[in-house]
Amino acid sequence: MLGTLLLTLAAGGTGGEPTAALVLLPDAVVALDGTLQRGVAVTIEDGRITAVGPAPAEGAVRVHGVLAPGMVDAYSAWGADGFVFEESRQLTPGLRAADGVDPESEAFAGLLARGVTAVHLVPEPSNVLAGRGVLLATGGALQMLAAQTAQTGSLRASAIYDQRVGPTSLAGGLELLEAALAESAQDVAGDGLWLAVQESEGVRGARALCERAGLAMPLLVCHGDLGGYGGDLAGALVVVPADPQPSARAAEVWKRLAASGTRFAVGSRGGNPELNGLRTAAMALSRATGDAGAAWAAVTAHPAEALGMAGEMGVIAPGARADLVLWSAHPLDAAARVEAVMIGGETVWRPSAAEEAR
Amino acid sequence: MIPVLACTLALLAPQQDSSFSLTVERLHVGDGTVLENATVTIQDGRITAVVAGGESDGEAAPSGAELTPGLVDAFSFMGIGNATLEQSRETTASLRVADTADLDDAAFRHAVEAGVTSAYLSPDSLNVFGGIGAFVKTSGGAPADLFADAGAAARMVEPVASLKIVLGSDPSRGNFTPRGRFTTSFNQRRPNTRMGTVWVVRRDFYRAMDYRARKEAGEALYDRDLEVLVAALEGRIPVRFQARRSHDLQTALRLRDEFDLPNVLLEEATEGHLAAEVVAAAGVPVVCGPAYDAVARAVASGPSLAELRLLVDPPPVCCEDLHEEFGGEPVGEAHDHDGDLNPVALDLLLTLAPRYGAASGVAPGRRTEGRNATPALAQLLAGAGVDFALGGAEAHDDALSEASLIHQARTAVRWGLPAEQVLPLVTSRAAELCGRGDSVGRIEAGYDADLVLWSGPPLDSASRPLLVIVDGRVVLDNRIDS
Amino acid sequence: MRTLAFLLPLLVAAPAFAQDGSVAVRAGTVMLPDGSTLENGTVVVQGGRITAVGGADLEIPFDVVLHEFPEGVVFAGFHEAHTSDGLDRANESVPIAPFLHVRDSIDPVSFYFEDELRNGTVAIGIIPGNDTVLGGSGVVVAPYGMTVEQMTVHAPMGQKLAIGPQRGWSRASQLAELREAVAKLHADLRVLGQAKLDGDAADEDQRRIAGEDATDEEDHDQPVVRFGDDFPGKDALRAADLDDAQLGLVRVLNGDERLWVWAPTATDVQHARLWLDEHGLTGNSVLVVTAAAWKAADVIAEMDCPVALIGGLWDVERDPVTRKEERHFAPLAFHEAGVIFSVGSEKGRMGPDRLGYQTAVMIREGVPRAAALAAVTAVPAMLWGADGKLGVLEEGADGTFVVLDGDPLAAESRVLHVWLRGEHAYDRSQDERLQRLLEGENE
Repeated sequence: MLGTLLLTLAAGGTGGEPTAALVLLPDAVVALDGTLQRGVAVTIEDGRITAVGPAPAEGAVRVHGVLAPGMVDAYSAWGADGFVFEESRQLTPGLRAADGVDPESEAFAGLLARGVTAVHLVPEPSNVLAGRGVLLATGGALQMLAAQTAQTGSLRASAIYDQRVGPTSLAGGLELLEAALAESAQDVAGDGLWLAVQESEGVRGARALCERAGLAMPLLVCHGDLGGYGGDLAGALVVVPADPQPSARAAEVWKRLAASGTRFAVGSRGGNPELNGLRTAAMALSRATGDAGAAWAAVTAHPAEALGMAGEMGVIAPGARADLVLWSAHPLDAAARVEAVMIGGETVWRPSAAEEAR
Repeated sequence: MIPVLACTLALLAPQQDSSFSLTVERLHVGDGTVLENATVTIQDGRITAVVAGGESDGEAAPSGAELTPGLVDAFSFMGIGNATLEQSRETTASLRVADTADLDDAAFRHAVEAGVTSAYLSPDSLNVFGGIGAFVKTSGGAPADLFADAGAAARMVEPVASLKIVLGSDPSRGNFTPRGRFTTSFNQRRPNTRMGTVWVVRRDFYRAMDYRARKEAGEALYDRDLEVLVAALEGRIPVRFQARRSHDLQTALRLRDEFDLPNVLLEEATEGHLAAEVVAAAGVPVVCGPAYDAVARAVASGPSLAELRLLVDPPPVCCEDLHEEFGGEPVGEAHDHDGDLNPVALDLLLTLAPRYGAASGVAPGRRTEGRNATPALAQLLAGAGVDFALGGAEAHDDALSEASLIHQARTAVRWGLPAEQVLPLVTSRAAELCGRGDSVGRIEAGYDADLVLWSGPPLDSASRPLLVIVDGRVVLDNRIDS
Repeated sequence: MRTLAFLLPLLVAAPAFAQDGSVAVRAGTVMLPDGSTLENGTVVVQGGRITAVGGADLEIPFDVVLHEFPEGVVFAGFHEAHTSDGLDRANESVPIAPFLHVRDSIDPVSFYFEDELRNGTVAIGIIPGNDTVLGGSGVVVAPYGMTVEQMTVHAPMGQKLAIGPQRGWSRASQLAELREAVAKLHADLRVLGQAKLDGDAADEDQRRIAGEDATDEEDHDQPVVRFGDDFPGKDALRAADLDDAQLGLVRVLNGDERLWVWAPTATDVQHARLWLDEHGLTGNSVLVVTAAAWKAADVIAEMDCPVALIGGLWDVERDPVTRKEERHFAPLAFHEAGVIFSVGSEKGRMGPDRLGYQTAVMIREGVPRAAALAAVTAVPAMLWGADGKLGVLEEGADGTFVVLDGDPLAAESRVLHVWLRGEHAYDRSQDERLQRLLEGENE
């Protein structure tokens, strides 16, 4: 694809000369616990944050607004060139979302404007093993932050139902998964396994399978009514589809899950498909659980952790990528607007003149 | 309701290790014997002693209350949902319901409320070799449901309890021969007749025998389904044939003889009374499905052929059915309303439904295969000398079905079975047919502490469970008016 | 073939006993209306009515045959207060249809009646279903007879009025339809009244012109409109001046007929109360409810209206957040609120669907035995307006009773015989269909 020529595989930086250190002093910084901290300066060098601390005497660039890490979409359909799935076979672990990226996708501009700096594009979960995902930055010299992420798949009967050869049920899906892992578990899922589930039998079956195959526990993408199987998720990190308007039951379920130590990473696929779906979902989560910090982490630090990049993304901390968003207020505040977006240390988005006039 | 002193509740708090005793006026052991003024002592989830007559140092049950073993449902579909139903092939012998049964199913709670403390979960009847059933306690498992009480889910006891083979029309339901079209769906490759279903049974048993021979000859082979079939041939795992009609029951017996299956049971046996002599002569035990205590269901069958034809292909009502194509071109033929019911068809359905509504069973298979059902099944089987137990199938899915095991027992007595013969059919004999005769189904020292205290004689329609104890834990307490 | 099969048990069940409406029965236990039992009691029926109930020494007239059941129980029988079974279809499609009568739709050979008789049901109140606004008239039948006239035990039963919405309608449109019908009736009556007056005056003029005297004929008919405000011609209108629909609605608003008001849920009960109060009809109404109306038990008690509970006895609700079931037993709620209620059989459930079973369930859940039994005997009779005639074993009542081999509510008790108005209608030993089931052979 022509687009691939434009993509640069880089751990950071935009391909230009290394820039000198930049010290930003915003009105406030969203800290790890989700609260606003004032008087904090952030030092950026070579596309990474190198220091976070009290403001230096001089040299700091004052910016007006709240500085927050860019949001990370943990489980996304954004950025795909058409559908990314292969229907002709039941198992397609070799498929790669990286081969199906549309670098000119209009979604990226929209996502940038709403504060999402990274997107984990995964293949359509219509097979038990659907293929590997790709981590994309939404701006800058468009780049893959990670060309191959974990193996993804689904144990949801509705998603994997195949009228020609099956499987038609969770039992059949588990059978297929076991057979696939029996041959070469490490090759297939050595980098991690993300499985979409929607009932307790799926959770328990998947975990038992991985244990037998000698793999790490799967990361669960939890669909449907979590209240029905939340007891199995205590203390785990799970991916959930974005839900901006949870029912009373769903809100109560989130509350109980949070109380039992479950941590959420929000993804847009399977949930709210709007460009600002992630943020509205975080706001709903915050309202339901009463914990703004955990809700904000659900769209920043937790997705990074799910992707195996804890500390590298989704946080404002030394060593993390300089993917930052400047908001007019706390990002979970409904009135907050994006003032500027920086990816890899380079400012990639500002409101256009027309938008500012609005 | 007789109010109970508050302090007595503390004695029966859900603590597994504490020991407590209960004294009742009448205690049904489960094998037909009744003890008067008996005291049962429980410790660590097991019954440690049962003492009859006289000295009672246990907590006194309310006057008139009677104690029975927890009821054992020997044929149940609790927790068997879509997750267990793999239909892409007709032989899923290796799929265990223990892996994918929904142990949080509300049906288990309903069963507890009706005094059922353990159950055999049977795979669904849509595959020829349906899978491996499991034996569970209806309470005591850690629930996955966030809103459930602790221990409210079912608890797996034996994940490999029995292999299921289904005869009759259920496995071929929905399958059809493709006509002039390229086949893509497995529904068009699976058998669509009874004989096709039995052919699959034979084919796979012969394949299993061949597989066993080749393995013994040294070949390195592994087929998860055939492994289970070999175990069935050798009697290492019991085989249950689910069959409703009398000729299907006879087919099951024929297959048993053909393959010398050592350990066979018959499930559901709706027309068991029509094949009773043959079954009794073969010495094969039967686990019966629920009987409907309504003559209407037993004698009224479905719509006539003419009515069915009208339902499927109703005449056009009037010009409504002859409408114009979009764009103004009139169409001279009746339109085919995909999925819509023509008003005539709808009217006919509404007319027929009340008449035949009572005749239809709960599950689609029973609608056609249950037309010769009789509520007197238990009495007729007992009269012919058949060894059998009663089961509830999907009676517990609905809390208000009034068709749970105790109701089945009452129905059996109403329709002629002597009252003293019925309790073992839902306790000790049911447990034995599930292979658990040594641990549940009786109130005897050494058995699991699964007990039900009824407000009166258990066979009395006005009796309800006051206390249900599973593995020594009180899981239902109805003794005080709430 | 099937038709013959339906007829056969009815014909075969025709007993060898004399059929002149007279019979005497002596049984181990006779259940009396007040709930007490009579040991070795005797019931004497002559001319279709009970003439005496007494002990073992009760004198029996010489021409009445005595049957003895030393181990048997004599019971007034089960009464189904309200049902639309036995009809080919429960409702017409016209919302205001007071001119309909179930006698035109009852199918005497329906299997439903045979089965009810077998279960000891002696009277069934059949009335149009609830998918209507004003549904038509009902009648009380016994499940025995070859024609509707032979089956009829008590008439009239009443009219069906539905406050709860029809299938597919909203509550607002249902009540609007009802109000509109009443308003239209008022308008029509005024027009008709005026026309009648004008017509009568014209007739007078004609007679005067023809030279005849004023007519001596007295009008013996009563004015048909006896409700609402006066209007010109109100007293002049007669039944013949109105069409079927108008006449039906007028009779309802007059209060001439028992009204069976379908108000399934608590909300519908409130609306029913308002409408009935507005028209002064609470006094001769019966509320037909489902178990969901338990929440309005106190309101119903205030209305002092009896209740016919149909369908299931339990109301089940699910908490929207926890999805846990909450169950309430409606008969107990009604009993504790002091509401007089009847219960019906519950078809379509896996378990038993007969009235005796429902009664046993009520007792199981805490309703006192007397109230539970009344709900299927004396209360249905009272709802039909047949107090003292049906549902009780006492002098002057219909000679209708059931002989069982045990307590009518016990699971293992069986109906042995049924006498309807002194006529022997059912004999278990002659029940071919039942025998076939018990012996294991089917058609």
